[in-house]
Amino acid sequence: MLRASVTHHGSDIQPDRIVGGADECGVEHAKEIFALTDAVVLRDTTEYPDARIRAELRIGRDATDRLVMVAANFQQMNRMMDAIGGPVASGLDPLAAEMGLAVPDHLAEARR
Amino acid sequence: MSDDGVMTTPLIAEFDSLSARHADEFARAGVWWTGEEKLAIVAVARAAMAGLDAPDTTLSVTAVEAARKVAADAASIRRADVERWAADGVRVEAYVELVGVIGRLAAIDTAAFGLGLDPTPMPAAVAGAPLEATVPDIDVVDGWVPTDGPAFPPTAYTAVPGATELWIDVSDVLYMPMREMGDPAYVRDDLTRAQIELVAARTSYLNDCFY
Repeated sequence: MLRASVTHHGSDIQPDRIVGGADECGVEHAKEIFALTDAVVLRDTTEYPDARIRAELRIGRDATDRLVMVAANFQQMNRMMDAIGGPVASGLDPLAAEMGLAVPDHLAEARR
Repeated sequence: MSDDGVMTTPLIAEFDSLSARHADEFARAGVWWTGEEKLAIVAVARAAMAGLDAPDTTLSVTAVEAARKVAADAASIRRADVERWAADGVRVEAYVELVGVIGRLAAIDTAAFGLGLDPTPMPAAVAGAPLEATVPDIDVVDGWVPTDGPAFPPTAYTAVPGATELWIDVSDVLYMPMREMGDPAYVRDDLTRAQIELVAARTSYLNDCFY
């Protein structure tokens, strides 16, 4: 869906830059988004205040709050899928490779 | 202005309502755990997510181990862990319910931190016995727990009556309504779908999750 939504806006995503946290990954204001997502998910009390202010200045208060909420939701989703052993479809292998990653064997064992 | 000194907005109000609703649910008996046990799971999970030792608890050693793994190291869980926990007394449906409780807690606590709010306080446990209800005709399909069809988010908690609805409640408020999932042009609170999915992808990367 990330790629589909980026393509919808006439751009292209560079998945390897998600891993690297690069500013220019094809999504607008990625630098501020990465910084605040990292601070919130890692509960980084040192980085959080600055990341929060920079995000608010760049994308506004409501979008910043929504960003936080989305990261929070994926704290739930990640635990859900890792804990129940939901397999990663083989169709996602190319995307993982673009990100410089490989799907672990334990998530590939029962592929559809 | 909220009690935390944070300027209240409709988004904050919606989150406050969500977190209060789920704190209340944590304190009540579920399907396989009492309210007291669910609050103990919350306490163990919070300690694990903060990098602290487990607090004194009435939970079994096995339940504590499972709760700590789900809370702080979910990417390291394997099928053998789930099978061992079941053999040691945490039946697989109870494990699924535990995952649901901790997942919702992780979402609510992360959001509170990122919104500049205090962690949601937990109410006192409400006395009552778990339902101990099973769902007929579902089995392990391609994951590690019974699911009503292939194991993916909409089926992940289907072994526990009501658990899917609780997950959707959190997801609807924090992420997006289910009906919008297929829309690449969706915008919520000025955050574009591309920005939303970038946050999702980065969070998954930080959690070492391939979902």
